[in-house]
Amino acid sequence: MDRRTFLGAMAGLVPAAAFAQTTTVPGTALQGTASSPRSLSIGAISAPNSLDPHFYQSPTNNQTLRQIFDPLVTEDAEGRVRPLLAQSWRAVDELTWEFKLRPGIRFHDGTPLTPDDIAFTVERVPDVPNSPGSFVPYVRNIAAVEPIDATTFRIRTKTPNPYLDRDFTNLYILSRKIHTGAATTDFTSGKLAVGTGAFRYAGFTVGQQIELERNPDFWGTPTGWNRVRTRFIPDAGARVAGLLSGDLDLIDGVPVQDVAHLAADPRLAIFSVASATSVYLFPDASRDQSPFVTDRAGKPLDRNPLKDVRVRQALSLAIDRKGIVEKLLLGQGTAADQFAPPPAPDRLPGRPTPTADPARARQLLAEAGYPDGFGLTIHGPSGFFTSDVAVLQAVAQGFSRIGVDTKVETLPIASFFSRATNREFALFMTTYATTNSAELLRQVALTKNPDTGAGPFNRQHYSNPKLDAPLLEALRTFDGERRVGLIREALAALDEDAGIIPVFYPRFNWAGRKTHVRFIPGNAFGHTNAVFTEPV
Amino acid sequence: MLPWVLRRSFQAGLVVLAMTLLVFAGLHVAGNPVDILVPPDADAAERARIAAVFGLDRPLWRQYLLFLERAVQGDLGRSFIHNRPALSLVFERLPATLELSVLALLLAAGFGISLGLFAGLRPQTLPSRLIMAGSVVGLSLPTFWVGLMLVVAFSVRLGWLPSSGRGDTQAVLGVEWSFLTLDGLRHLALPAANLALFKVALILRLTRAGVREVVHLDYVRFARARGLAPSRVVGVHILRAIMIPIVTVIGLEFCSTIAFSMVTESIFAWPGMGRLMIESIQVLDRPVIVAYLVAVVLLFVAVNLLADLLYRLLDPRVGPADAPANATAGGAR
Repeated sequence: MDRRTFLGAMAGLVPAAAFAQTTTVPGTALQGTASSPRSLSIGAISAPNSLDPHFYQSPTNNQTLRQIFDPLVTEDAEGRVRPLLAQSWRAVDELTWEFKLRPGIRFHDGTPLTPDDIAFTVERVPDVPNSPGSFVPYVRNIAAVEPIDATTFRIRTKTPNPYLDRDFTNLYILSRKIHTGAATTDFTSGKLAVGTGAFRYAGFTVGQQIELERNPDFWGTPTGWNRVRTRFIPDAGARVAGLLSGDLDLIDGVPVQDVAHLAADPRLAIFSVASATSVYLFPDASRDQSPFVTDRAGKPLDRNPLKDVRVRQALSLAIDRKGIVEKLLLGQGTAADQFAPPPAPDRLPGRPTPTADPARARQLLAEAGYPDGFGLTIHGPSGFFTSDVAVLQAVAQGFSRIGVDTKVETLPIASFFSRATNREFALFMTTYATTNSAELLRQVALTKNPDTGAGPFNRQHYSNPKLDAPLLEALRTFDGERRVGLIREALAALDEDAGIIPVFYPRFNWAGRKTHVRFIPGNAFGHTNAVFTEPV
Repeated sequence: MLPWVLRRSFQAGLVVLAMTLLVFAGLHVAGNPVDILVPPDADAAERARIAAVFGLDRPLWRQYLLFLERAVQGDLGRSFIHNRPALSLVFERLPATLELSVLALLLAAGFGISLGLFAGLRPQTLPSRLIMAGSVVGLSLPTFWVGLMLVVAFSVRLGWLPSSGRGDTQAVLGVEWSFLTLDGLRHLALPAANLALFKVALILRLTRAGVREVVHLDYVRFARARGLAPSRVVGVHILRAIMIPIVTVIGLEFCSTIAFSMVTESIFAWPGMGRLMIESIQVLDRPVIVAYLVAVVLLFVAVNLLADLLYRLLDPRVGPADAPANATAGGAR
């Protein structure tokens, strides 16, 4: 979810480190040259590629467009689905959901919001040409949207989907009257960037900045800002400098090295939230022979040691997660105790934080028939998330300590993901972000099936019947309590099998001028926008 | 003259063709854009749809032939990310880079030549020694570090100049320019200075070396002996004789500033072509990468052509490349 956010954060690490030493001197700047009291100037890592809310399903587009448009429902920082345009909803039966819209909602031009607009939105999603990643997976299963009265409508699905409400958290609602026939360029030019949101379009330069003005007729509490300008600054050092010099009021993607010294600055405040991102290792547990696994002398092995659950458990026990979080992330993260991240409400409760246990790991290796270990090359992205290369090196050190002679190879993301998808690695590190454990397992760990399209990000073709059975059952179970039980059963099965080796969960940090702005993270995906701010 | 221009254009065409082939092959080896673009919540059907939309499901040679077919009609494809013609995306970013490069080069030529003349004419004085020592620093400091230091000094500590962005722009003929507004000029100052620093040092050293060589030649002495004003001796006799290498370097530097100012553009969040290129490489946005490189190759060719023409103005002995060198030299005398 936050691939691009991470990318930007990483891109600026080196220059930002230079600032860490040079800018702690109390400056003479930062006298509020940026903004008058009711205007806000934000510096954000990444730039949206269009203002069409259905053109690209990416965190950057979603976070930006959330200011102009609204979804039916939204997700909070604890991963719960909350009302927004819809004030209430329920599943009537397994194939029918009923939503009630908040009355009196109008688009920026005065057009009232009607249930037919939801039908229009669902129709439009597959009709956006050249989308590099669309919302189609969310609406493919919808058979019909049926208006009942002025504020009530029903959504009928082709197959049971207990997560239908969650599917609408990033799908922004357009108007049939305003947006029929609208092309992506009509949004980007501002002509049809007309939504129900708290802000109105006031200017957009692709790759540079977006300007917004207050929507005085907003259906909720109107924002305290008159104007908001968000500038897209990929370089972390430049963002920090912009904040310190007073050009910017609020920045996102604060590099971990800068958190402490910015927090110590009396003029600034750090705002922080636990991320829905899980950083994990994915071992090849399915093939009999795997690339990059050898004996200690470098000769190929006749069987793949990663196929043995004891080897995978040993590797997990070899990782010093606490050390990684404290030393490499400077505390800006949490050691992982399971695959699902902390903001997921349906994760396994009450799990102890694992500590490195090299002795037990060596014993497991010996039991699996590798008393002298073996040789391994592990892969990871570079410049994908904070300290990614260093984390992978720390993992390799842990492996080597128990006798698994490990080399590290990191690649730019442009090649890394393609090679990982092509099954070219024995074990690699990557991330996934969601607050829904069922989605996490369905996308990453569910047995890949080309016919049904299951497990699209199961790059190692992992397969565990003890995970699949409860998960598939959960994905069609409407009883919430029972569903959570099934998901936890699947999570436990994955954990026991060490099919995926979780490492840590990062944190998102923002920094702002204390006397001007307060940032209240609205979700666990690190979205940066003015909707989540208030004037001080 | 005309055959020479035609031959240059033909060569440029071959270079562009070879370059597109390399980019296609190289990016194909590097990775699949679908793996970068695909949202994490996508399913297999969505993956297949994305590949089909961009034609990435076809074999590479088919993709390349299709590209050539469209390129001949002036269409270099649409950006995967922005869903807009790649070429217009590149040209949209060109003015920002252009004004930055031109300003940096003006600064570099102005300071470089005047300081170089001074250091060349009065080599033993203290200021000259300081200038030469400074030029070594200018040549050896990495751009990204200098950029950060400029920001720390002038934006963060002193608060005189903004740290990033383009500031207010003024539209002329539908193109937004920063250098026409005061705010825009303030935004331009730091990145232009950062880009210029290395070039000042380079041009300064070239100028000084040229002056040192020429100043003792007979024609300069005779010019002095004839009682010409020192300004005329320096401005006409010396400067003209040393300009050829300087023009060459300025031409090359101008190209490379336009094409490769990515570092400066990232540090100062300057929305130019360099930043577009970096962003496109990160997501393997092939049409934009190709369009950008085609534009850069054509730019290099054009600027080199211009530099060749300038040589001929500066030194009549320089003739067309296809004419026998000694014949021209003799004829011009």
